[in-house]
Amino acid sequence: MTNVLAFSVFGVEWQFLKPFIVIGLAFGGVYALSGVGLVVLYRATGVLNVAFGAIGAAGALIAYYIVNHTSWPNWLAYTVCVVFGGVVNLAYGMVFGPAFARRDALVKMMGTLGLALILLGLMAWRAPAGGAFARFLPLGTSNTHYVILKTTVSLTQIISIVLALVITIAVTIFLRVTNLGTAMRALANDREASAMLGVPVRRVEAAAWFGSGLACGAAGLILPDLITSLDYSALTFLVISSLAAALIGRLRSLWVTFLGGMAVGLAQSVLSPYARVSAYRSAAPFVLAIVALLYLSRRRVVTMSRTAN
Amino acid sequence: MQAECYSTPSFAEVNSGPRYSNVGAAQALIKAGAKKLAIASPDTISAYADGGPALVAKAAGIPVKIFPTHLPVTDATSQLLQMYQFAGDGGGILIDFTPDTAPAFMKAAEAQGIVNKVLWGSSTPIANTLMSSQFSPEFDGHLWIDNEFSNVDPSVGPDSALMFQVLSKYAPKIAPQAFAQMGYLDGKFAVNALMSIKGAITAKSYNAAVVGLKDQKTDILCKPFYVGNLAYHIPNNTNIIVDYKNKNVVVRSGCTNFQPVDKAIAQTRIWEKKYHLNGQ
Repeated sequence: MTNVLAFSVFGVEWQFLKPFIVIGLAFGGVYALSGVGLVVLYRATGVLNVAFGAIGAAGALIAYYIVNHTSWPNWLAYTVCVVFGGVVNLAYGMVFGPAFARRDALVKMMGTLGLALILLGLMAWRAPAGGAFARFLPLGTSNTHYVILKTTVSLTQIISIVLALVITIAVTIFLRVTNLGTAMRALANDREASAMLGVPVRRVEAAAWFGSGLACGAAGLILPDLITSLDYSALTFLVISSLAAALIGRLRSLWVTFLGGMAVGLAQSVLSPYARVSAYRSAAPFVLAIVALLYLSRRRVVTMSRTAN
Repeated sequence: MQAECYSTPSFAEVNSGPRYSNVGAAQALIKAGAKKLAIASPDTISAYADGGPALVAKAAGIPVKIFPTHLPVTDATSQLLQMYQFAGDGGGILIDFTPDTAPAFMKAAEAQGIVNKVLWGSSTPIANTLMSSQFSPEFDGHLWIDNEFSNVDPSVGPDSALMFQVLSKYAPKIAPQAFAQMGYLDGKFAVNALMSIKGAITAKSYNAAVVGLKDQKTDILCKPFYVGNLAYHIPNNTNIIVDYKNKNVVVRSGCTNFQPVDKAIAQTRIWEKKYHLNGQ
């Protein structure tokens, strides 16, 4: 009997494309989760944290050590990974945040680059990559598989997608209905006025640093399982795709950031089976970000040109 | 083709190198029934390393596709799926990576449930108990690893036993594997060359002694090692095939010559007979 759903997309059969869609959505979930964390932090503090990936990678390495060299239960190791992200982010924000508070966004971002380089150096010193063995941090959920539309999907991949969605919903509600969330939005709109109105700036910033750090730790926990490797440099620079997602959201909209993250993950993965463009798929996040920014800014350009005329 | 330093007169490696180790693995996979062959190596050496097994596949009339891989690998699952989609069920997937990279593909294969759907070939670096302890029993019976040296086991013979003693004394934290066997053999043959010098030991006399090395027997190699005054050297051109079983490495098939589809191998065999380099 002929399979009526057999068709090809630009020369690649649909049956061959489906696994890449699943992989792309799973990666997209991680990028969306990280992107939302980046946007929340940026809006509350004005800091674009490029150390996101390094913090997540460091947390993952600590979890690896706990799983493989102690008798602690795995769930504790995973918790440490997530909390590590929150604590390191918070510590950086509390120590260096005030010093950079009145500097422009580029200087603030460069400060976090310093943190990323320090963490990379520490990881290279204490857990050098290469040599005779590889490190893994497989999650127990990867042993559970489902077959959806004749494609194998692991529970980890499902969690990655669902977690990003749940976090985006939760953060959206949090920002709207809680006092702390309202204070964060106030800071994002006008920091000086918020301070004068009595918003506890340092406390609100601390919450933003810690909360975004938790997202960073969660991403650091899931990514090694998705890429089947705990290579800290690969993990650190993979999260650059999250920056693209945040840019697509214009560092403002959580939902556009979420959709941007999913689109980035999908684009990178779905390009894999196309031999002619596969080598360029690592550029996909930034091409998407540029296209999105141009498209989303088009009304502003038209308005400016009309005003000029 | 990339010009590799070890294809010049001044280098006589004790190992086979990635190209010929891949040749051995490809031969074994085709003999085991693989009808298609997907090969992956680091992109920096892919043209050289994968050219050999590609010749073997073409000589056997088997479709072959090469997947140059940029390191570090950030998405082993995607590449593995592409290789599996090309090779198909019952096809051959040949991976040529060191133990810090190969596991990413092997883990991805486990996660995707395709370990027992294809025949897995590999070059030497994963033929050790460090790897077998991680990937056995999932990969038991599914691997055709070309091992350029004897099994890493002190009971194989006196050289293997001495290598383990040296490692234990001077490098206890280093896991025994093919690279340790390579280093041991380099040291053994260098000492043999030095010991053969009559008179002053100079750069000239040492170089002459190295070139004069032939019929160097060891339990770590299938055939005696040699150097000789040749345009290039491939003295290690006969390997064994190993697999994993119960977290150990076991021999699947004994010493097997590389097929002379590669012109360099064919020429090497002619030289070996002509100059009686390794007991022939």
